[in-house]
Amino acid sequence: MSAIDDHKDGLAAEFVLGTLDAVGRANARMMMAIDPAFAARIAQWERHLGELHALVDPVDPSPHNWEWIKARIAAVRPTPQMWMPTLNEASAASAQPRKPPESEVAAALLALVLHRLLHLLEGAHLDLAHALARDAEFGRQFLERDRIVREPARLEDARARAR
Amino acid sequence: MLASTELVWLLAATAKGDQDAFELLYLATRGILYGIAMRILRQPALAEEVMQEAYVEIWRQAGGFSPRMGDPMTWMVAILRSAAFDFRLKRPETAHDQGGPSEVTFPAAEQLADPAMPEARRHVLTRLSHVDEEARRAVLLAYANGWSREQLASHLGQPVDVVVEALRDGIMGIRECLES
Repeated sequence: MSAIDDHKDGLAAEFVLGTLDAVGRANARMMMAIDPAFAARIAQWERHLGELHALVDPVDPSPHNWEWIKARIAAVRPTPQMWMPTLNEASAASAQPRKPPESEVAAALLALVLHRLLHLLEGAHLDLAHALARDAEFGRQFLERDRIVREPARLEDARARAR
Repeated sequence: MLASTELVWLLAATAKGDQDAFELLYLATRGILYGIAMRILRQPALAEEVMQEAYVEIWRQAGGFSPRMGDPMTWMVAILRSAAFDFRLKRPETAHDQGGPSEVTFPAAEQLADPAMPEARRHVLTRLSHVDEEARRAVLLAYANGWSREQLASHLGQPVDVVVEALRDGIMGIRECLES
């Protein structure tokens, strides 16, 4: 067992399960704020217990929900904090053909590095962007292959099915 | 349901403020999030309120997601559940059970062996399949319904400390998969 004891770990798991009362939840929140090992444990439990969502039957909400969410997000900017794969991850991702699920993630990692690069170029705030300009065309080719975001028919199709 | 990789793409585009991508993300995941919200809050109006809050939070935090942190769906589920629990504590009068399903069906051995099942899910479910029936039921009921220890005890007709013990057995049974 790592740096966290059984009692704390049980608390972390129960926080994620939702079985704690108001006091227990507040205590866990406080521990998350001061103890990184505890916060990491909560994140791990969220990852593992989160898989149980597959046992709960999905229920489609009525369409007006999207209108409300759309109105709300219009006033909110996403936090401009983009994750960035480490060099190790990026090179491992591009170098090793592995079994399908992992290589899909690898492709996503590589493509997201390029996304990030374009993001940088579009911002044009950094001199670095000019140095990287030669790679822009490469990045754009990747973006064109981003069928999810760039293919309007796909969104129309999903909307139609939702109605 | 979109593949995990596609959800990662949509979250990355969402982080850049792409509303079309966010709409696709919403359309692909709303059934799962609303299903969970309905289980925990039991009333459509409350479940909708919490789900809407969760999506605004997902929009806001999309840039903080990284595939290193795990599966995009479980990341979104965690945001929804956290919003649902906080909502219920803020508005305790909403915690009354309005009926609806509470049990979940645990997958049979052949479903656990299905190659289409994501590895992380198989791992947790396999560990759970090895713990005592009572401990497994406590964990599943707690997860699916977001019940407190007291609600679990009343549903199972057992003292709270027995339920807490069962939960701990279930948790410790799953725990080994966190070590790897």
